[in-house]
This record gives sequence, structure tokens and C-alpha cells, in this order.
Amino acid sequence: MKKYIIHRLLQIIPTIFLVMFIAFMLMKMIPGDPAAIMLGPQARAQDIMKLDKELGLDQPATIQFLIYIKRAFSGDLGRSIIYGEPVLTLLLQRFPLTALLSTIALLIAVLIAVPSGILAALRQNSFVDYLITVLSLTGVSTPIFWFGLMLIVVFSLYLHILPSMGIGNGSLFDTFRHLILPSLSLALLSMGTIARVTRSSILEVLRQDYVKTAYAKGLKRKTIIYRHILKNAMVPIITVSGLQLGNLLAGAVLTETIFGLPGMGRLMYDAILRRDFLVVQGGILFVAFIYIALNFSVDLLYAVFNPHITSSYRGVTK
Amino acid sequence: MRKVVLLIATIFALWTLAMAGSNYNSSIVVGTDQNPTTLDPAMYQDLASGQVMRNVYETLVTYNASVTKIEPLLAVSWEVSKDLKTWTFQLREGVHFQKGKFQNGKEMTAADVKYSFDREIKVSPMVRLYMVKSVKILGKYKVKITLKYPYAPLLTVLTDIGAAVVPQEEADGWGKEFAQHPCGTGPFIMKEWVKDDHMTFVRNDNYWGKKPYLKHISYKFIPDKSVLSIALMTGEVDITSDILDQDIPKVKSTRGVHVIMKPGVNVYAAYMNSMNGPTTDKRVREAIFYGINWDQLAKAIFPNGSGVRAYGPIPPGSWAYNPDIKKLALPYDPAKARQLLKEAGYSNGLTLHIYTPGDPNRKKAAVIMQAMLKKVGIDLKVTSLEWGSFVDITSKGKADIYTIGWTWYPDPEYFIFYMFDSSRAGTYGNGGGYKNPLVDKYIRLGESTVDRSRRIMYYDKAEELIMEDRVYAPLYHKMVVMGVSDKVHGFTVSPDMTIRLYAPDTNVWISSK
Repeated sequence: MKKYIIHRLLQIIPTIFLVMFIAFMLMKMIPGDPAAIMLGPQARAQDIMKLDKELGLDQPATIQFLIYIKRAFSGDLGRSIIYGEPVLTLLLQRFPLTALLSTIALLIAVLIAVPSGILAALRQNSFVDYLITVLSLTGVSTPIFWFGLMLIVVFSLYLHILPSMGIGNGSLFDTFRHLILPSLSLALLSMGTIARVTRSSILEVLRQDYVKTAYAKGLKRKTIIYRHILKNAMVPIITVSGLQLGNLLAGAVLTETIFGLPGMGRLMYDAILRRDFLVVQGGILFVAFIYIALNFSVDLLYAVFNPHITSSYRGVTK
Repeated sequence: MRKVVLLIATIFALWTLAMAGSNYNSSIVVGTDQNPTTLDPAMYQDLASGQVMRNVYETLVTYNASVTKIEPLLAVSWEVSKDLKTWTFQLREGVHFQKGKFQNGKEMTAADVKYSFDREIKVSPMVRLYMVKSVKILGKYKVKITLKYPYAPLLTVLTDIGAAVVPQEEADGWGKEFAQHPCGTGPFIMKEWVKDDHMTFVRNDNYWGKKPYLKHISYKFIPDKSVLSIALMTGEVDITSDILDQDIPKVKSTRGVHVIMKPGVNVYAAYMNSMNGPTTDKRVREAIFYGINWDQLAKAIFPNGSGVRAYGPIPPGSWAYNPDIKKLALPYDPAKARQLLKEAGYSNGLTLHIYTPGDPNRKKAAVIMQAMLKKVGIDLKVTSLEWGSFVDITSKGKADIYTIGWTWYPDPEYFIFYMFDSSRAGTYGNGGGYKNPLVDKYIRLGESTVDRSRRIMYYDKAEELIMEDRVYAPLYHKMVVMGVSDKVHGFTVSPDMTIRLYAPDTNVWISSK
């Protein structure tokens, strides 16, 4: 087990390097000089050059990259050229809201999608099944920003029951009230996918011999569904739901922009448009890091629950 | 009985007064789609930051809310030398800074003006005071500004919040963090700033000037303009900036809110390349002028009237706007366009590339131009780019045509010099490399006098020459469109799109009904 953990940890290092390299190269490849964009259309050439020098952009790209890596490993992701604040501070300020938004969205998605998926599978080829399939396809193909605007029009403008934007006065109740519409619109992104995976996963288990055996034994239908079908069908459902968290972090960029939420997605969106390159690089690195950490913990959980995975490593020690 | 009636009448009168009259307990919520980035005057580059900073900071002189007149603020009077190179300002006495961490509300003096201007020149990435050579203290309340060369629009530059007076103790004390801890002489004190969400101000009770009615100001930052309009309609905000054309009817039909439209200080145009490609031939450029129905184009983009057709680069919101420039417009004449193209040697058609940024209006304009020009034999290829890439390509003269948008101070210098002076070739303002020595000459003349009527004459002359060269096809001027709740009183829409809640002729208040 120890060996497995070390092996997985070693794999992470090159991944992080690769992420840093790609983030850095992307910012180098898109046209547009950060200094020129920052100073705006009215700027004079000498001021742009002066700022380029201050930002270290007059140095060769390789040197810039090496300096960036060196600083990053001591926890210094640089300062935002727009806000003048350390990138890490900005990211840590914004992350909690995005994490909360994504988690609530995932919860909503799972709570709606899993039961619908199960229902669709148990009533395969019925009207309910078709309805759920059509709805989940619609969900997957609906653009978030459109759905978000529709929610605002219905719930804020016409019904006057929920706020249209912002995070409110900071109290817990008010924050949740403000997060209902954004998380609903974000949840739509994952709902369809999770429902469809649930349906097919259950259908597959239904065809297994042990289910037939269970029926043959004369077990109650309820017992069969809960103890034999759901338990075995859950693994792919949990995996897909976990992976959706990454998608939700990406979807948060749009949701936060529409609902005016001060989260990480909005920070990144502004930073890309304004070529605040250190914030973009830092943000990508931060999200990648979280994603890797999540994957790592999921892998560890698998290893705990499924001894097959670590057995190959045990074999070597023997 | 009479007493009772009188009492009731008095109470009723007081009640109406309290409901509708001005009061010092008003609280306002302003919604804007732009997000401020800094509260350090020297460091700011965007309208959003400038707008909120006006609450805290003050400049020597300022524009009134309709941006037509420059009024004294921290300076009470000024003198200009004959050669326009030495400007002497008499400062207001008894003005105190707000209390901060490093000083306890000290008096503002000439030393602070010198420090602030020197600091702007040293640390600002924009260097707005680039024409300033030195600032000298002549007395506790007197400063002399010496310029490198005669510069008539200096007062306009001094109205910019970038030239605000800041206390040295705070600016040096906070260092980089000064951007989050503003401290000026202004009517409001910043209380809270949650980035990307909101910012709040409270009234400065030690303010030197007329007491503001507003006790509390809150700005909400909502990036999506349609959501912003909805927030106005639901009553979550009291004023919103920049309502989209398509949202105007919806806001207008909502009870309790209204829409105010005013000519703006901006211009949008299709700017043609004068250095490279087919557009260097004047006949090709004229063909484009004849081949497009400009009236129809503006109407198609702004069906609800939030934009009007432009005839020249100086916008109607500027005091130098010349309505007669209309006479130089060419009529819509596709046959003439085809003939001109034939004369220029393009009888088999011609392919041109037009670039636009993400701005939906400019994209629409390019697509309409494409459709109209197709009929005269020009195949216009439209490329829409994200802002950074757009500026990169167009300022280097790589575009045949680009859709330029320009907005700045109402002084004509900021429209004519920055877009048409030959020294500006290779910048976004003059990306096509337009050069006309006569235009340059009139710009120099316009910069060298403070006499407004003579300056108007020079810039109008330059504008005529530019229009006759047919490199700059004006598309439209956007109106400044603001949504305002009926509860808001005393508010004037400024042509420069800044929301001014307190200015020399403005003191906004909110009624409780």
C-alpha cells in the first residue's frame, strides 16, 4: 500500500510541471501584449515598453519560465498586474465561493439525476423512460448562460422570489438564497450526464445472473433493488459524479459571470480578457492541483475498497 | 376644531415633505457592468475605477455633471502665462484629508499637490501628466505647474481623477496596498470593497463643501448587461449604466423605473488602411462610402434609438461638435461605387478584410457592410477577434479596415489628435497609418491656444480635411443610456458615461417612495 501511494505521488510531479508549462505557453501564444492591453488604446509606445520591462516581459521566454517555476515552488505565484495583489491571495479569497457553488450544484444534480436514472432503468422503454431520456438530453445540450438568464427572468423578474445577482449581505441564509439560481443553472450541466450513466449502469446490473438468482430465490423486489442492484451499480455512478466536479469548476466561469458572483471563475474570465497572465497561470495551476488532489484521493479510496488495485504492488514485495 | 384641522394639515405636509423632499438619510445602490480594479488614482486605467474614486478623491478642477464646463474644486482660481507653458493655481483653504492610518485628517496644502503630481508622473503606467515639466510650491496654498510645451487642454487633463490630490503619508505608508485603502479630500469615505461583488461608501461628515444628501452609496458589479437591467426592474439597484438597445422597451414598460438617453462622447467608425493594400487607392475608399447605406446601418443596429448615425469623428457630446459636417457625407449610390471600382481596376471584384472586436454592435456593423458591399462587387471578409488579439493586429496596420471605437474627454483634442495625427500612426487610434500634414498643422494650432472659439475652428477644419480624405467612415455614436429608478432625484446623465452622484451642480438623493 505504501509503495502504491509513493508511486502515485511521483506521477503527480511531472503532471504539475506539464500543467505549468502548458499554462505558460498558452499565455505566450495568444496575441496581444499584456502591457499594451493594460494601458489601453490611448497609451504611448514608450509607456508600453516601460511597463513591459517592469513586468519582466522583455526577457526571453525560457528565462521567464524558469523564474516562474522557481518562485512557484516557494509558494509565490507573483502579483496580479491588474489588482496589484498576490495571485495566491486572490485565488484563496475566491475559491471558497466557487467550491461551495460547485458542491451545491453537484448535490442538486445527484439528488435529481440518480433517482430519475434509476426510475428510467426500472421502467425501461416506458413513457417515463422516454421522458427522462429526452429531458436529460435537453439538459446536456442547453447552454448554461441561456438557462441562467431564463431562471433569472422567471424567478427574479416575474415571481420576485429570488435575487438575480450577487452574494447578498454575507449572512449564511442570504448567501444560500443567492446561490439557489446559480447552482440550479450549473447543476443542469451535470444532471443529464449523471442520469444517463445511472440508467445504463442499472440496466447492465439488471442483466447479471445474480439478479436473476435473487429473483429465483424469491426475494422481495425492494430488497433486490436496494441490496443487489444499487450497490453494484453505484461504482460507475460515483466515478462519473466525481469527474463532473471538474466540469462544474469550468462551468462556474459562465455561471459566476452571469450571476455576478465573485468566485474564481469570474476572476479567471476577467484575467484572460485583460491578459493578467500571472493570475491566469496561477488559476490554472490551482485548479489542476485541486483536480489532481481529488483524483489522488479517489484512487486511494479505490485501493482501500478494492484490494485488486494494490495487489500488483504487493506482488513485487513478496 | 380648527386646531385639529391645522394639526392634521401640518402632519400631512410634513409627511409629504418627508416622502418626496430631499433628505440627508438617502441610501443608493448603483449597478454597473464594469468592475473597478484599483482605488489608487495614479494606477487606474478604466472608467469603472475612475467612477468610484470620484467619491473619495478630488482634483484641482472638475467638470460639471453634463461635462460642458470646467469648475474650480480644490483650486479656487488659476492663471495661465501667455505662452501656455506656466499655469499657477490658488488652492482652497481649510480642506482636510479623511482620517487614515498614517495621518489624522491633516490639511491639504500645495505640498500635497506637488507630491501627488510628481507621484503620478513617476509611478503611473499611463503618465497622464506627461506634458508637465515641474511642479513648484509658491506658498502654502499656491502651486506653479510648468509644462514642457504649450498645452491648451491642460485643465481637461487635470479634471481626470488620475490627477487627484493624495496625502503622502498614506500613499507612502501603505505602498502597494494604497490601492485598497483610499484616502482623499472627497465627500465620501470608502467602507468596504468585496472584489467582483460590491463596494460601499459612507458620507464624509467633515467634508469642506456642500453636504451630500446621500448617506450611503453601494456599487454592485454585475458583468452581464441584461442581468443588470433585470436587477433595476426588480428594484435591487437604483441606477444602472449602459442598458442594451434590445432591453430598452422592457425597462421603459416597467413601472417605477425610467430610461434616460443622452448623446455620448464616443464615436465608432470603419477605419481604412492608408499604408497597405487596395484601400490606399482613394477610389476604392470612395466606392465603400457610396456602396453602403449608412442611415440604414445605424437603424438596423439600434432599432430602439440608442445609437445615431455618425458623420464625423467629433461626437455630439463634445462642445466642439459641428453639425455641418453632415454636408460632407456621400449619398448611397451603388452604381457610382461599381463605376469607381472599375476605374480603380477592380472590375472583376475585390476582396477586403474587416476586423472587429467582440463588441456585438461592431460585429453587426461589419456584417451589414459585408452584405451591402457584396452588391457592388466587394467581397468583405469579417474577422471578429477577442480584444487583445484585435488591438495587436489592427494597431500594426495589418487590417484593410477595422471598426474602431473611441471614447474620452469631451475636448476635441482627444478625438482628432489621438486618431489622426501622423505621430499616432502605429497605435490603435491610428492603426491604418493616416497622415495628412495639413491635419497635423491644425492639430498643433488647436493645442496652442486656450481660446475655445478658435480651438473649435481649428479642430473643425481638421475634421473636414479628414472626412474629405475618405479614410474614416463614421458608423454611429452610441447614446449614453441609463436606467434610473423613480426614487432617484437630482441625477444628471453625463455624456462620458460616468455616474456622478455628487458634482458641482449635482447632489443626488433618494425619496422613500
